Order: sequence, then C-alpha cells, then structure tokens
Amino acid sequence: MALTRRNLLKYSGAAGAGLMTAPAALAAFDEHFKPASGASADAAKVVSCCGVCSPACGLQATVKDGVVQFIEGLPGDAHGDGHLCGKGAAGAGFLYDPDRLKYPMKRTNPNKGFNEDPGWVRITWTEALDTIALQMKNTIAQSGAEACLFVTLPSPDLFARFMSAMGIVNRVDHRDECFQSDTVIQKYTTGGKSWCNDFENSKYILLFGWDIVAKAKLVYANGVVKARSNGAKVVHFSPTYSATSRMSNEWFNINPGTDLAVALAMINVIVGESIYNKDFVDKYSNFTQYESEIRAHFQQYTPEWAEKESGVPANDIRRITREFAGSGASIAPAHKKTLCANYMNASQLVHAISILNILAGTIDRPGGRYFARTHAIPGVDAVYPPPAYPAKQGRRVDGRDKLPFVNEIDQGMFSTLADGMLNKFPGMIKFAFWNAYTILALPNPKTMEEAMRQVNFTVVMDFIPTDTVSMADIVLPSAMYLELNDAVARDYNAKFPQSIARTAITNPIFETKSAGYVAIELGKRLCPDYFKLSDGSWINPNTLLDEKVKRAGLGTDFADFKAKGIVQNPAAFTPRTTFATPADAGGKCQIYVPHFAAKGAEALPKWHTKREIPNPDFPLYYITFIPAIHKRNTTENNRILNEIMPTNHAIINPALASKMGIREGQSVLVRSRAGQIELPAHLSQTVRPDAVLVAHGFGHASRYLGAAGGKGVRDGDLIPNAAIEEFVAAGNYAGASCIMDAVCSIEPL
Amino acid sequence: MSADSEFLAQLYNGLGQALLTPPAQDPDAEREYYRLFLSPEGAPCPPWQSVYLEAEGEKPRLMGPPHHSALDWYRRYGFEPAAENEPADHLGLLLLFYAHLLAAEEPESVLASFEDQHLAWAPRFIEKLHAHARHPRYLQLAADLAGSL
Ligand code: SF4
Repeated sequence: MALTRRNLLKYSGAAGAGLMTAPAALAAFDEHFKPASGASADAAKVVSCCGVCSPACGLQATVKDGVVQFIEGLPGDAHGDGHLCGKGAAGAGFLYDPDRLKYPMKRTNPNKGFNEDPGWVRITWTEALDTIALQMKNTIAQSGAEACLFVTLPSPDLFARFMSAMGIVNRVDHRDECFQSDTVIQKYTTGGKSWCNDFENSKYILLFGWDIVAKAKLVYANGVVKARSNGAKVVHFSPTYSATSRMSNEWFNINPGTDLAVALAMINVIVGESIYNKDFVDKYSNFTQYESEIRAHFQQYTPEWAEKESGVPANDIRRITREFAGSGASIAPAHKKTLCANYMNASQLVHAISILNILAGTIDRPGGRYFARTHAIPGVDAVYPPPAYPAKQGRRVDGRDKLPFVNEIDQGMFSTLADGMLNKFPGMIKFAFWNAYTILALPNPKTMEEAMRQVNFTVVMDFIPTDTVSMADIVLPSAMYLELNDAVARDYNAKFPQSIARTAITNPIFETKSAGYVAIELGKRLCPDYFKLSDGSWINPNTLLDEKVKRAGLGTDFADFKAKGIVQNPAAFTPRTTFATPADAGGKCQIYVPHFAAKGAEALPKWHTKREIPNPDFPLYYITFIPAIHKRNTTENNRILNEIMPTNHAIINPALASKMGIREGQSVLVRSRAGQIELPAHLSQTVRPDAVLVAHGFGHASRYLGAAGGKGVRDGDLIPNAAIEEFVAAGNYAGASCIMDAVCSIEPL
Repeated sequence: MSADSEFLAQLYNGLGQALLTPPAQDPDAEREYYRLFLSPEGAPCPPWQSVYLEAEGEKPRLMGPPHHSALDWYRRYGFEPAAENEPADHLGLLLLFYAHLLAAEEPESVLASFEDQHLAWAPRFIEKLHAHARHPRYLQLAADLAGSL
C-alpha cells in the first residue's frame, strides 16, 4: 500500500489523471461519521428465546458491542433442556446474513420476470408505506377487499388487527401443508390442537411417518430420548429409514400413504377385542353412545386387509395393537409436513390417530397428549378493544369456503391458491402482500409464479431475499426474532405455565422493522380508528407489550419481565375431566363425530387411497422431506446451515440405481405429471427401491443469494397442482395438502 | 497538511464517498449502485469486509471481527459511524477514515497497520466489482480502486 500511495503521488497536481474522483471536500467524513459516544464494551451474556420455530427454546447470547457473537442453550430451561437444535444454534447466521434485506426498496422497471432487471432503488419507509397504503386503498375502492391477497400468518396480533380492520377475506398461510388437518380433527375429537406430548412418561410411542428425532422440535427429540431411557417402546411406520427409525425398537417400511390402513386396523383390533382403556373411554368419550356404529364401522378393516394395502404384516399389526392398548401410557402423535399429514387421505388418518389416543385413554393423562397449561397473555384486541370489525366480504380465491371445517379455523390454503388465481378467479387478485413466505413454499412454485404475474402490485416483507422478491414492486426489510421484544407463553412442554421474555438482543440491523410496525403505520393511513386509543394517541407497541406482561402476571412491565427472563408457576398436573369439544358433545372426547357427518364429512374415518399411485408412466413414489437442519425454505442461505447441507439430491436405493443404470452423483431426470427436475443422484439404503426422495427448500432462483442461490432444485416442481373440487371429491375435508403425494419416474442423463 | 497528504486524503475520500453514496442525479447509475451493492435479490458485490473472510476460515457474514476492529479504530480517534446499527467495515467508511488518517498525517506505522487490517482485503471486492459492473461509472470506480489500493 505504501508503494501504491507513492505511485499515486505521481498524479499529484495532475487533476483528472484518469481518476473519476475529483478531489472532494473531506466533508464526506463528517456526513458519515459522528463523535464517538462510548468505548467498546466487553462481551456479556443476554437471555432470550429462539424464534426459528415455535417452541421458543431458551437461549443465551454472548453479545459484544451490541453484536451477537455466539448463541447457546439456556441451562435449566425445560423447552430445550439447556440446548438448541442446529437451526437455533445457527441464529447468528440469519442475523448477519450478508444478503439480509436492509432498506425499503422499490422497483423502477415496471416489467416483471426473472429476466428483467427490476431497477431497484432505495426509498424511505415513509414513501414505502404511503405507496402501499395508496395502492391498497385504490384497489379496495375499485375492486373490493377481495382483490387484496395477504400471504401471511395472522400474526403478530397487530398485523391481524390491520387485516381485520380492512375486511381482508383472502389471507392464506402454509398450515394446510403442515398441521391443519390435526387442528381440524382435534377441535372435534379431543377439544383442541395441542403441541404437548408427554413422551418422558410414555411407555409406548407409535409414530406414523414423523421423523420426530431429527426433524422436529428439540423438546420432542429430548422427550423420545428420555422415553427410551425410561424403557418405553418406540414403533415407527415410515417408507424411509430416518433417524427416528434408527431410534425405534421396531421400524416398518410401510407403503407410502397407507398409514391410514394400519391405523384403521389397529382400531379394528382394539374395538374387536375390547382392549381399550375402559375407564377413560366410558367416562370421557362418546364411545358408549355410538358403540354399535363404531363396532360395525371398523369391522371391515381387519389386519389382513391392512397388510394388503400397507405391506405391514397382519400379525405385527395385531401384536403392536395389543402392546399399544396394554401399556397403560401409550401415545400416537400426529404431526406436520412429514409424511402422514400430507397425503390426500390425511383427514381420515389424523382422525384415526386421534381415536387411537382416545382408546388408549391418554388424552391429557401422563404419557399422553395433553393440553398446555400456560399464562394467558392477552392479544392487542383484549388490551385495546377495537371498534367492531367490518364483515369480511368477497370470494375466497383459494376456494376454502368449500371446506367448512378449514374455513372455520381460518388456516390454509397454499395448495389451492394458484388454481384459484389462475383458473377460478383470474385477475381477481390485484394487490398482494407477502410477509415471511416465498413462492418456494407453494406446492407448485412454477404455477404460483404464473399466478403472481397477474397481480398489479406486490409487496414482499422478509428478512432475506426470496424468489418472490423478483415479482415485488416494493420490498420491506424485516427485523427478526433476535432483534425484537415479546412475551412468549410456551406451549410444548407445558404441564405448568412457563413464559419467557424474548428480548431484543441487538438493535434491528440497517432499517429493518417489525410487521407490527408496518401494521400500525398502514393502520394510521387506512383505518385510523383501529389504531387510535381513547385518548387520541396511536397504539405504541412498547406500551402494548408492557400492558400484556402486566395483565398476564409476568411482571410490572416488560423490563421487569426481561429481568426475570423466565416466569414459571409450577403446579401439580390435574388431568382434565371435561374436554373442550363442541358444546353438544357434553364435554366428552368424540370418537364418532356427528358434526363431521352433518356437513358432508365422515363421522368415522373410512379408507381412502392416497392421491397418486405408481403407474406405468410414473412407477415410483415421490417423497419429499425437510432436512433436520433446515426449516422449510427459509434457512438454506444461512451460511452455517448451508455448509452442513448445501443442496439436494435424488436419493434412491442402490437396487433401483442398478436397475436404471444410475451411478452415485450422476445427473438424473426425475419426472412427474407436473414437471421435471434434473439433479444428481445419491444412492442410499434408507429409501425403498420403489421411491425417489428429494429434500425440500432448495432451488432458490435469486442468483446472487450468497449461499443458496442457484443451488439444488425445487422439489415442488413435481407436485401436481390441486383444485379445491378435488379435495372435496376425495373427502379431504380437513384440507391436508398433498405435498408428499406424488409419483414419478427417473432416468439417467 | 502537506500537498501530498492532501492529495491522497482527497483521493481516498472521494473513493469512499463513491462507495457510500448512490448518484441520485443519474438514474441509470443510481440503479446500478443498488444492483451491485444492495439488491434485494442478493447483491453481487457486498461492500463489507466481514463478507470476505473465507480465506481466513470465516464464513461470509456481517458484523464479524473486522466490524469490531474498525469500530475500535474509529473510536480511538473519537468517531463512530453516523448510521447506527450498520456495519462499521463498509469499504466506503474504511476509505473515508483512511483519508482522515492521511490528512492527519499519521505516521507510516499507523497507516500501514490500518492498511494491513482493513484495506488488504479490498482487491477481492474490486475483483467482484470489476466482474459485475455494467455501467461505466462503476467500471471506472473498479479501475480507480484497483489503481489506488
Ligand atoms: S427446536 Fe430448534 S429452532 Fe425450534 S425453537 Fe428450539 S432451538 Fe429454535
């Protein structure tokens, strides 16, 4: 450098000697620097909780000068047992991702498409919010609230309030791809969705598909490990040999999508042999009321019949059923995206699984599925009651109203959104606001891209670039969980209330802001009455949080709660004797659900096949999965996690590989009726010879996304589109998406 | 201040400013600035030192050790970056500060130490800028930076 400097001096006095930088006043220094306000501080530890997924495991962060250096588990905390999973431990990788969205930006090139340069320029938050408000206002004035699509969870509560105040009818989220079927079923069978599984006191854990040890919450993995140490038996039905299979006492390589057959046969055996928990079932379920219907219905589903469908030997089904019914503390959890909840027959499967738990008599009992005991932290509407919300008017673009049980819980429907936008109501959606979701999350991203091209004005709010950004008119940068305050009543390991303070460990980087801020600011512009307090002032999120903390009994205000970190109220566990099922169920769990029958669904689960069955054109099952170290499609650019798993493969059995002449690492073409993908093969005994396994979350199109850009392929390109009518015709009344339910072919390239 | 020091200070000051300020008066160049450094679809030329530590075995990130080190330098001279909550190791800030050191006629050992800690990485950035810039203004900037660092 000293040499460069001396060389440069040759130019001294020769103004404009090729250097564009005409001597500027050193005033630039004063513009970009200010007098120091403090000295560098030593590192300190700060307590908070993880926000990558929902259990909110306790964490402590080492922070130096406001910068997070390291994140680890919080010793003694029940939710992570003092640990964090890979995703949680990699928190700093999200926070300091070089690709983080930093400032509000707007497109200056109106032409959209992957080959267009959007001509992004930075704008102020005020300009961004003014523009969005104006677009929304004009859209509603011209085309009604139904023309606005919000792709977001109904959270935070301030954002939900904004959407309610605007009468938004088209809000969609991913839960049909996740646990929506369980939410529908539990509402009617046991009285509500719960995340609590008392594995450590279970004696028998029966898992349909769910790779609970690897791909789940840490709290569950810890629970299953404890259960095994306590001598519990774990039985796993899964068409792939996963970490959970390895940790199970018995693993059954079940035919994909036939879990329902096994569950129905298990009920057949329990009812036929009357080996259910008589005390619980008689007192707390409607079994006796519908006994003849129940006995008659399940007679047809013999283990021998189930063996033909599932490949699981009838004798094993009988034996396992007797073990399950006789252990005294058995549990069959149903879960999320993994396998069982994502076939076309998942509504029936989840109902059958719920019946198994009721027959085992462990609903809200030790070793079973129980309801969370939590602090009641009020939402904004309880703290500041809003004026009456306008009625939601307009047509549901995803056709969700055809599935009344899904409609009433207000979740879904990613799986039918593109069909609605393209085929049912073309051109209806004119304004779209994507918050923390990407088109990669939709079952068939290609079709969603097409649907999004029809939208006039799109806002994307996120913390890293997503593929949806390429279609955005305005991009808003999100703050993330390590930069925000909140009070979290945790509900995964909740035999007694244990709330934790989510503390802003560091200030939001650059100009990132929360969705709550956006809601208030748009609210001021569009629906001020809902964001104004009785004294005429605007809702202040900090005061709101103080008030929530106070009303929940967690502290005098948030600062007080934060100083405590965790507030627990240990209390003895008193099992429920009345269940929150619909009022006319008399406080009982429902095996036979008359409410389902009343609206055209099945009072008792019947056998249905999965959506797609291997055929001569597509002879293989196509199974997708989320790797243990990734969360859906949002973590692949995290440099720490990306290093562990940077891309995806077509994972196939060596027997299939040799039949098709495919070598390890060779490029293959995998095709389905929806499309095709090209990717390298990986040979593994962990997958059946009649299946192809592909990890979800890869194939981000944003080319300059530092770590994930252009790596891997989109698993969703092979998932056929779905229309709401197909779900209705198939009896998929809980609206389970079919992201595991496809078939394919494979050939070497 | 000697003429030499002033010349160099102004040169690096100008380069720093070019990296920190989008040229609002030239819309094409302005869009190019954002595409290169701040695109919300992933920017090809991130201007922060912490992103360039792969050779040192670190993963690209923001707010890494160079951020703390740069902040220490600034504070030792009584300054902090005006933008709060932003990384201190933006090449533009580093160059403005380097210009400040030159203008203050700091001894060679101080200049050399700052160069070593905070400018030695710049060629990796310049390489990217050279590869990705399309607008003449930023091709020129890449050339100017290459000639000056
Ligand atoms: S399970 Fe992992 S990602 Fe989820 S909250 Fe706990 S540490 Fe975070």
